[in-house]
Amino acid sequence: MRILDKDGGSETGGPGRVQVDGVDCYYFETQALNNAQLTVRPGEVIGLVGPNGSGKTTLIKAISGVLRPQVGIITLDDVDVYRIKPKRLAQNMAVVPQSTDMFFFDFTVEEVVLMGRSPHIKFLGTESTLDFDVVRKALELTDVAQFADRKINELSGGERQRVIIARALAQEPKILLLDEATSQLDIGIKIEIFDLVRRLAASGIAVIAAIHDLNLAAQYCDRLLLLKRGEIIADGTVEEVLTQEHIAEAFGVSALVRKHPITNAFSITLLPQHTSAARSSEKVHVIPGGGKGASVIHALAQRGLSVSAGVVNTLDTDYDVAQYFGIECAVEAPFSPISSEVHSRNVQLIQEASIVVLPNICFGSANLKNLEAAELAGDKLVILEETPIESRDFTHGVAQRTYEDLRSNSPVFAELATLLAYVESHIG
Amino acid sequence: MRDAIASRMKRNATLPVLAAALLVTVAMSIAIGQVWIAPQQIAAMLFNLIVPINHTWSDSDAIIVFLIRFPRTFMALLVGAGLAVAGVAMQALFKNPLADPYVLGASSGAGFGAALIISLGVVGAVYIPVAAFAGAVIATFTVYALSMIGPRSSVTLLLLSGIALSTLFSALISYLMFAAGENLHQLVFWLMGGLWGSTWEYVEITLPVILIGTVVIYAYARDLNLMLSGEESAQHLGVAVESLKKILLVTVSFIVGVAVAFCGIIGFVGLIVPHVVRTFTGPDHKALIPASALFGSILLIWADIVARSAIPGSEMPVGIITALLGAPFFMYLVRSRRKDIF
Repeated sequence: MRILDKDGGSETGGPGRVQVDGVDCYYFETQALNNAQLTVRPGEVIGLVGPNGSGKTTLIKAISGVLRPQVGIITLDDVDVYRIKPKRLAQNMAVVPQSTDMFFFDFTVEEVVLMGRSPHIKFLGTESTLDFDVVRKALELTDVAQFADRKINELSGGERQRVIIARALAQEPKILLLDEATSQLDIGIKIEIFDLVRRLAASGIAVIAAIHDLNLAAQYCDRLLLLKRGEIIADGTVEEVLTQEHIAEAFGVSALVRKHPITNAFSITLLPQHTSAARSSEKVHVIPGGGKGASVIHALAQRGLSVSAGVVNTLDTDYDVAQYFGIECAVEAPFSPISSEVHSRNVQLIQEASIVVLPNICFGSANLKNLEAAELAGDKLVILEETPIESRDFTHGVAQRTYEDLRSNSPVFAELATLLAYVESHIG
Repeated sequence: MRDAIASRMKRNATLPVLAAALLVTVAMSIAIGQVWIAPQQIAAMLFNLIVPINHTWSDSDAIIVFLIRFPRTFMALLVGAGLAVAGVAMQALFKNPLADPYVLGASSGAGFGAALIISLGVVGAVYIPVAAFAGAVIATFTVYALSMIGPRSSVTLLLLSGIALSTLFSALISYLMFAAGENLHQLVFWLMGGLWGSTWEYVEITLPVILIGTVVIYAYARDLNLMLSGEESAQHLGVAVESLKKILLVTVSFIVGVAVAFCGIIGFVGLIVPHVVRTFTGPDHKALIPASALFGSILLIWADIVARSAIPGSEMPVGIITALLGAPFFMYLVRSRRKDIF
């Protein structure tokens, strides 16, 4: 990257293309990277994601020339990184670590950023005015120019990390490696730094960033690499990599992946692990509809109860809540009548449940089958009735007749709280 | 902003002030002794070397000045500078405020070499320095070899191996002292460190080693600054860390080897001088290295003045003085500047 337009005469040829080919890395006998494969093109922002110990930092170390692979080769513009002199490598590649040792380190911010120019200064040489110009520009880009004369040890963690980023920019690298460089910073500074990263990428610099926060990775990266136990298990666009299946495989948790309707950004919500937290093996089944089941599902799941639901239509709020809590569902296509196949799935869930809740839902021809299902619950059924059935029946009395039958044989509650108390006293 | 300018001015003034202080110190070191020789007399003697003038001094005064006090003062100057600069390099390399030039076992290695020669009763003044030098260099390289993990040396292993090897050599030295009998006195004096017996021949050998060593370390001042932010960071900023380590360890072992060979084990100079100087130059090695060289010289020359004049008619080992001055001052420094050190 040239952060100044002037020619400094320190450009070292080549576009800055990094290739990682079949790389295995070890810490003593422990394998930390297995057959890693990666090509980095100029201007690309690549995010490395994966759980702790998955090899993100190892890959960064291997590329940056400090952890020599036992097998395979890493090249910069077709030259083995481990054959390039550190000084020349540093003219092309800069690294921002998660935190930096600062020993005897009461240097001023300007002095620290000036250290980023050292790969461009000859042995026994001194800094030129060009070097100071680059430093000033780097200070401005990272918004730390106002601290230039302060001692680095007097700055906060976030300010200090921005100074280290400024130092990396002063190297004018073609490749910038960020090793969880923002993981200890607050969200505002994270966004600021990644906005800067995007601008740098637009100017042709390639960025490889190990990122802990999946949402941050999804928002700012062109391409993601998902690692698990030293292996790259997915490589592609955000959409291709951050699938529920991949996240489950890498992190062992279920996640809700959606595209934000306004920003088009991906959002990943990691779901609570209900199966392990469930208080009892006994299940509560909820018969939702038109969003009326959502609050019941939410309340039950929050209490750590094992919940199932059905039949729900996708796109319905009830479905989202069920997904959020990762509960078992009998699911029907949007706005469609309940098919007999889904109905029998629902009946199966009802049979497995110890209690079946019929919330204050509306009935139309499309969901009459849910009422039939409720009948099959027998004495396991409890009813939440917040408004009279007349106002909720759109079947000309068909639903009302069945409902009133159910009502006369089951406990009926007017409030969610009392219903929950009943459920809790009967389970666990 | 004003603070920055003030601190920069302080830094710029440091070297001239220290250089002037060193000049005064050298003059005092030559003047002070069992016979006081006034500085103007010394100046006249020096002038006489270039343009012969009337002798206003006795021949015995001239002998004291040129054959005893000058070489002794120069040895103190060189060894003080060398140990201080070696200390700076080791503290930066190990990122450890307790590192000193002897941290890799050079002192006990040299001590063992010298003790072996003395206890074997080998005659000839030249053998003791040679054996001490060999001991220092062998110890340093053994420690370096022990610290290798694959192609890299681990700084922690360097420190631990240094401690282990020092302990081993100390035990061997103790055994030799126990077995030495009548040679014990000579050995003890040598181990405590002193500048007595300094000759121009010592200076001729020491000068190039310490001069070149200091210049080499100064040449890597920028790399030493980068090392302060960690080995990996330094490498990412273009420092060839492994070769830098090798260059510094070789250089330091030569400086320490020659210092220990002629003057024994003079403690504390290499440990405290870098800390003291850092308080007024800041951490930048471009200022720290020359200032430490000057301050180390001044400190050791004054310590030697005290060592040879504190008890009339007798001389103390200078190591006692450096420790007596150094230890309390170091304690004060650690307490008053603990937030910068830790």
